Amino acid sequence: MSTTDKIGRRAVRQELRSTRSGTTLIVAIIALLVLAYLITEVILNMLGQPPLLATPGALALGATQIGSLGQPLLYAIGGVLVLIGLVLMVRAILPGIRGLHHTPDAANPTIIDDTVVAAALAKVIRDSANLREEQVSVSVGRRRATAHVHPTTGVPVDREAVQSEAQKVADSYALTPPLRVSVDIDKKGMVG
Amino acid sequence: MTGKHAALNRFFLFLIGLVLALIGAAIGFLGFAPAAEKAWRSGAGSGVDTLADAAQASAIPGTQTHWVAAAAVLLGVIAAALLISWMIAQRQRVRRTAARAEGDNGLGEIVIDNRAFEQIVEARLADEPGIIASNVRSVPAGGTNTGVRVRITTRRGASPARIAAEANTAVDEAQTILGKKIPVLITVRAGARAALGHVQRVS
Repeated sequence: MSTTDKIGRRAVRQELRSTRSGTTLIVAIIALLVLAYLITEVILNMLGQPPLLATPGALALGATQIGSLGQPLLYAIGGVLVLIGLVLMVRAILPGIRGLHHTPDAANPTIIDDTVVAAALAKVIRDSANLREEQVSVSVGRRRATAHVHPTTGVPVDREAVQSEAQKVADSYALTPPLRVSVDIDKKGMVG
Repeated sequence: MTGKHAALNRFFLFLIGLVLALIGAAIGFLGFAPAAEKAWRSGAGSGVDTLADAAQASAIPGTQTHWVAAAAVLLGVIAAALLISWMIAQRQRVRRTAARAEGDNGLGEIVIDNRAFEQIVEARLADEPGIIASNVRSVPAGGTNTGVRVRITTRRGASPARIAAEANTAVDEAQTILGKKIPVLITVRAGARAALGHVQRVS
């Protein structure tokens, strides 16, 4: 495999997953604020100025005597910290699927947003069943696309035909992972 | 080629999460076990006392301050600088050069500017009715490698297969003209109107 192919594969793998840069930024900003506060307290103490909240010595002493807060408060603080820690660990481990598909058959690595696929499938269904824009809505997940059709009153829609047509088009996109299309026809019709 | 430190971000998030969870569990344990609370109070208390004594012993002559505090400030500033550089590293990095190649005659290096690639791709895609806009960027792709990201914004309802094929043809054409196979990542996105509302749901 050439370097170009390797870089392409890696790019696709990275692009399909969230980089977690948002979470990272929030964590970094909070850490920076805490750090800035501690530095300020130490410098104020060095200059012999009154502290903002507590001197570094008082903060250290407070940490050793945290037990005097009492059981309920200790459980609450501990619980909140454990919860935040678990959320961060889970966000670090979960892939963070981004609502994208890719087409491995293309000459260059190509990634397609699910919104594009949904809009295209909706258009196919509209055209094949002769419907207006607001009568068809399509949602695209990782492995399946679901279309909701509101037929015009008195004009039945052939579900099988619409579904097989939409499936045929979805297959022609050659997406990974492949999409299975299902079509729901509303029992109540719309006044056209 | 996404230009972001995805693996490093996840590693740091996991590490920070683990530390927070352990501290939280320790605080909860202090409430649960009075013996542990006593041990912490005396153990950490004597630790703080030792530190305070050391601070007093390291007083800077002629001032009220001491070396321990100065060292703490220095460490804090270094940590803050690292945090800020980590934050800055989150943004997408861009390169002006799409590729470099040695000339056949050995006379020198050929530099392909990002704009050359951009203009060929954009000119080729300008007539495609399903495409609203295209954007070409050269980005670092690991080490000294450079990759090109082509972002296509489509009109609502355009066939992704057709758009992908057009984009791939345009990219191949650019590579042929420039005479070099550059790693390219093509992303096809929906226009602003289609993207309104839920990310994965449009009419």
